[in-house]
Amino acid sequence: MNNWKLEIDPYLNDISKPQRYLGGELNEIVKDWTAVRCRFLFAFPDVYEVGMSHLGLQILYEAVNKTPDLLMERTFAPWTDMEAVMRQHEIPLFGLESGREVQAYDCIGFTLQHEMSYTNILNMLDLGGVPLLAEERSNEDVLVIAGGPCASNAEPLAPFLDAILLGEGELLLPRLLQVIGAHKALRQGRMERSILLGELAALPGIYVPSFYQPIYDGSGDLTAILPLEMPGTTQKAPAMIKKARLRDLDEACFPAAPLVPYIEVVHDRMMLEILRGCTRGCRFCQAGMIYRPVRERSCETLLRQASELKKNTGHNEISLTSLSSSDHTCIKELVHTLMENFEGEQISVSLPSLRANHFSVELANEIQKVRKTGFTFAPEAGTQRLRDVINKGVTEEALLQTIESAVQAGWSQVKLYFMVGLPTETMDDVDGIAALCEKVVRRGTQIMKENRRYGSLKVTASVSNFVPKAHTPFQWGGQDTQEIFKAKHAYLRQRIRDRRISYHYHDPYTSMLEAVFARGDRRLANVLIKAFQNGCRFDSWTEQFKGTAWKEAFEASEMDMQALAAKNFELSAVLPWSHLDYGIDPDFLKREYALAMKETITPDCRYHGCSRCGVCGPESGLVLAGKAEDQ
Amino acid sequence: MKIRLRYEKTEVGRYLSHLDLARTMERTLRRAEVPLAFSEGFNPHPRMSFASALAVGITGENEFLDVELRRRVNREKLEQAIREAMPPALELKQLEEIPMNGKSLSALINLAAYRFLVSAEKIHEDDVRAGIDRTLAAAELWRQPKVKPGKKIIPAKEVRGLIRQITVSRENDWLKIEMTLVMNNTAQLRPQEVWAMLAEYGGFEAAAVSRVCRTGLFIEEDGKAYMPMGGDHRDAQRDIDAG
Repeated sequence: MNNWKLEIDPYLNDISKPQRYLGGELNEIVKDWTAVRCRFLFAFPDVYEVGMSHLGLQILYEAVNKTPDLLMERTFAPWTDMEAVMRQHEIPLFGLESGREVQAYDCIGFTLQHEMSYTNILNMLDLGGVPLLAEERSNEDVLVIAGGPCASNAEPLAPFLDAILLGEGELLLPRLLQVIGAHKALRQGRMERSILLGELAALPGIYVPSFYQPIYDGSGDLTAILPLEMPGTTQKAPAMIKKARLRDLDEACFPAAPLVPYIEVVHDRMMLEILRGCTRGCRFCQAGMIYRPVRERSCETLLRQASELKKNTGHNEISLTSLSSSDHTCIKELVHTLMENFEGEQISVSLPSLRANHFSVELANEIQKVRKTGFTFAPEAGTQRLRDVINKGVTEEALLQTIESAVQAGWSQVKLYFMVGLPTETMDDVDGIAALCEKVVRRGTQIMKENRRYGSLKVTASVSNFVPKAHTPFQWGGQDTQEIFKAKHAYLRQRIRDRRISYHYHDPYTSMLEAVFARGDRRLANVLIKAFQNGCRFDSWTEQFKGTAWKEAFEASEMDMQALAAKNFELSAVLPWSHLDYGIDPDFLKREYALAMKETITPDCRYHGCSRCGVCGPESGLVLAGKAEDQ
Repeated sequence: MKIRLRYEKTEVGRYLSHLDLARTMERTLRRAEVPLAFSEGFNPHPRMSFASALAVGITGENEFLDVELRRRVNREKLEQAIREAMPPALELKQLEEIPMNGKSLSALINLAAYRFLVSAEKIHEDDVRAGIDRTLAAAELWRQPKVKPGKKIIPAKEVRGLIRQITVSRENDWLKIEMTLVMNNTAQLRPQEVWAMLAEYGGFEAAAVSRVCRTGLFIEEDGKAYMPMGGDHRDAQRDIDAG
């Protein structure tokens, strides 16, 4: 066996951040290769610093490695300088723990966090010496799987993947690996690829794309996704694949001793997941749909986990993560007790994802007693009309009052997130973004004057481009064209004159690519191969993004990316993800779409009764730690 | 209470920057539940000070760190807790209490010892030895900094006085080079650049160096050098040639 970490050693002095490729961190688990039945390589399609900030990696590392028969190691996308070294010296992609090459493992699994990471996946397979297309792989090749949020429509990647995990990985992955292990144990370590895929497809939440045949009509529209007969059986693959989900987060696998990197990573802190799912029901938000229902961890569990994390990592910050942290029913008690426990040790508590309300300011005030850094809110849209369309239950007055309390409490910087291109948006709504920012500045500055504080409130408006996503009420409608996005950004740029407001926006070109792949089908796989061959890597890194290479990849595949991004689906159309069941009733999405068009909101089911999204079943799937009271 | 740590930066941690090391050390001390004393101000930092930053790519066998605690704790228990909390990149070798108001490590240390390997494939041991003798016999040695485009030109510096001792020995296919260099606030040489100078003046090929290690940091007094630890500094004592 080769330890490729030794082979890269002579070149490490000439590449950036060599520590990325060496492993050896605190809490690393290096299991005996021969003592397990199935060896899994977790592959994060971005650099080490991004991947090591991902809580999912830490959860899966624990869930797999705590199982006696299984082993999990890690690999990340090598940065461009390292890739050059690897290609020049014929060093394959390898796992950080044992230094073994990709093909030595039984299974490699990619996490699909966003669409712009897809070319890195192809590059990593290529560096691992794995045939890109699943159909070209032999029994000797590693099994290639994927999971994560973009698995909810990974059709553009389908030809590259042997199996896709729908739903919660800590539940699915160990089960899947056990099946691989048992399969190989029966065959003296050999794999019968097609038989194994049949065994995997029988598991809940496992989608084997090669068992499904998409049918297109003469105009190229999808008309059906046919389940095929599974090899070695007379049975057809299930017509619908249902996502797997945990009942109770308190019982879920918790990485009490996560890996602690040596080098600075994006989020250098303890991550305590306090709840999963969100029922606020923002109509553009995919996470809010696919992670339902809401399951909270109890305060008691969270406090115990926090103290374990502290003891095992030594971090000086703890982040209470979730889709909407101020929504946890015991958040106040939790924050208060954590602050008390950690006082004197200079450990700070941070709360991402706060809703714009007075309660959030109270919470933030509790955790930032000394240093008041910026406050961030996401009104998403500039006018009340459009906020009602997207079901963002924040009123202008509530936002202004929140700003008022934040400034009263000592803050002097606010960051506001908006989107342009939301369904039904007019130029009045775009103008509303500028108008709202101005109101915020005026109200905040007035409060500062009243309190005899020097200066004025500074507002940063960060404006991104709406990308329609699968499994949301906005999945049918096309995205704004490049021309329209550019016009909207140009309007805002000249409209915002107030020097107290700084305006940032996202490049519409990458947003268009995201839209193409977010709602795309298998025919896009060709484009991905061409883009990869044209040198596309790290497409989410602005300085690495190669617009021309992408353009040429689409042209060579005779596909029109602008038309694909702007494509409108009929409400009755078969969608590329129609066979993937995330528990959300398609009729609920249609109802929500109709309500959006009528500018009518749907209140949060936690406080105002069931909205019949379909996820709960006969009994409520909600798991709350305390009493539900809308703040 | 103030403590001094003697520790090793291992192969695993070779590519850690000084900042990475400081962060890693802070986390280690936190895991060991050391009652760290913090600086005042908006952004409190633990009060700890390193003897000397170690360059990226170099290991260190005997590195030193002073840490201030906010209350007294049992030394043995502390040593055990810190030893257990160390990640693979670090290893605790010794811990002792030091006076609260002693001189800082960076003010005390004035010698550093290094060791590295070069391949014996292309150069002969005797040639290297002769070249080194010739070079060190000179009264003056001038370091000519590399001229980088667009950067300010640094004047050449006479550095003969900064080199104390260099030994060469054979280890299988490798030559083991050991050198003791003067280290103070105004001047410090990197072992790689000394090697390049020796090759240039001594007329042998500057073969690539590997496994560079700082083997120790010393206080030199009256011709004797010892490590900045009270307990076993007699063992660590070594003779330094006047050079």
